[in-house]
Amino acid sequence: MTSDEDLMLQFQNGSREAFEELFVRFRQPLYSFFRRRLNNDARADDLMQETFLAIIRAKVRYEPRALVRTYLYGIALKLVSAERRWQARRPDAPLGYQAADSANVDAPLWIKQALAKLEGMDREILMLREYEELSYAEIAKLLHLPINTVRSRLFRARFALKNLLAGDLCP
Amino acid sequence: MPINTHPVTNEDVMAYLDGELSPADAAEMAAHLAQCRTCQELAADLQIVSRQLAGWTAGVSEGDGIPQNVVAALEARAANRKKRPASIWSWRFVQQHPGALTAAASIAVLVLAGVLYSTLRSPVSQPSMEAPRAAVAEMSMPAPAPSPVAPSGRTSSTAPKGQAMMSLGMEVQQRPPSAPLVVLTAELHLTARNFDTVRSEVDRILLRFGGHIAQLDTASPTGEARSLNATLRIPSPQLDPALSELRKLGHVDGESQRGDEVTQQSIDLEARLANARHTEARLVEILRTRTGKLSDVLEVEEKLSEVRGTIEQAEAEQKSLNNRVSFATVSLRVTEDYRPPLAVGTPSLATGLRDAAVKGVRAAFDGIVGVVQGTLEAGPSVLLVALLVCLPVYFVWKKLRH
Repeated sequence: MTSDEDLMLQFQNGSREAFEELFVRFRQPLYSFFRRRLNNDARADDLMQETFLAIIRAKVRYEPRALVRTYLYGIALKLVSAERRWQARRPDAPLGYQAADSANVDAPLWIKQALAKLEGMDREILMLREYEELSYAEIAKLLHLPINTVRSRLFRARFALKNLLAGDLCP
Repeated sequence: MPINTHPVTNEDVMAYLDGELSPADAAEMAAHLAQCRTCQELAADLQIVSRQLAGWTAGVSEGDGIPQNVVAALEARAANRKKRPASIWSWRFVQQHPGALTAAASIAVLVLAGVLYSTLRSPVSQPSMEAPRAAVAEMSMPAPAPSPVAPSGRTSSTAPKGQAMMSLGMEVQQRPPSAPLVVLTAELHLTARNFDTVRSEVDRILLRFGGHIAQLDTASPTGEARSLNATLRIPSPQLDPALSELRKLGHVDGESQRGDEVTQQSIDLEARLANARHTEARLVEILRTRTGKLSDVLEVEEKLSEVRGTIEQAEAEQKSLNNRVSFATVSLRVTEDYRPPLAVGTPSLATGLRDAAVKGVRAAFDGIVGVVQGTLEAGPSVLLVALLVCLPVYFVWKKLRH
């Protein structure tokens, strides 16, 4: 199977098929990424498409030394940050990470509540590891942190989450 | 979750479960886990957390295929790419060539800084002798004559325009017979701090430009400034560069230049000489061919002697004139920058305190002025340097990020 990086290089050289293949591979992971962080189906879909539009616009800036998925999640993280800033400026918009959302029946409420109680950076590291399945090095690069910091914060987040899930939040 | 107190840390156990250990470390960890109950419990807890988190499924993105807006962007991009290469003024060009753009911006900033620096550093007002000369130099110049050497570098109001055009220290190669002849004189008054080296410097300048000393007087009165008065003869074409060198000997207190046209005088002299030579030739012919009374012969010889005296005098005048045209005369007066020592007595206490207070206030004021001046002088440079350093770093950082 052609690697993501080869597909990206082909796309840089004008191959539309390569882009379509990348879209197929990353559509769902990116949608899930936004969906878990924003709790909004429509915005998750919009931002997933925005991510691909950003790739189209800035494809010349991609260099093979970076993994495509790191590159994509880097864009996605920026879009999430921008979305949160936009929400913060709107008084009627829900602020920050959405913990309790009764409309979302796909996740146990207590998991969301437990995640919401984590410190922001710890939660992001934990989610990038558990859901996006990024390596410690990839997370460190994305969040501009030393890899040992990622390791210690990840353990701290897991430890805290274990206590939270074992406590009152657990059904 | 138990806290592991083994040499194997909790984070190592977690990294093992995440597949982040090297094969050797992973093998060691597996062996340790097989026999360590505490670590087994920790691993189990971590796995439980992961399993619970995995229960959150985020749903499925709806729709088939690539969304229409993405397809449109893709096609627009492709069409745009086929149509034309990135224009040098386009944002796409900026994105494609950040390094080239950074280099171009750096060069532009450097050039701008250089221009600004030279503009700010150049003196605001100078004794304006060079500028008008430069302007004149760009005008068309008539061809000068070989002999006598025509002068150069004239600013005299009496010098004709054509002569002024031959200025600026250019070597005169050729001059039509009608070109004017100008005798150049200059006066230079200087005040020199380092008077001891003036004499040797004057000799060096004369040696360099092929001049000589016509007269030189020095005076060293006790308790007063020493002085040097000299009359220098410098080849006329070298007058300007020689004056430039002489000005460096000290502060210029005064300077004047003069150009006296002697063309007519030279023509008259040549005419007189030609007539006298013609008369001499006729008298010699009379003496040779005619015979007569002795008194007539003596009278002719007397006339011949007079004519020959006139010829010699005219030749001497012509030689002197040529010499004056060929060599400019510079009257140089150099005075020592002399400051007699003050006979200062022991100041009273009040005077001392007052002086100290005045000095203190003055020093504080000078300090403030110095800080302001330093900030104004160095500020733009610091900003430019910061810009030069930050721009490439910013682009490199941006590039590395992506």
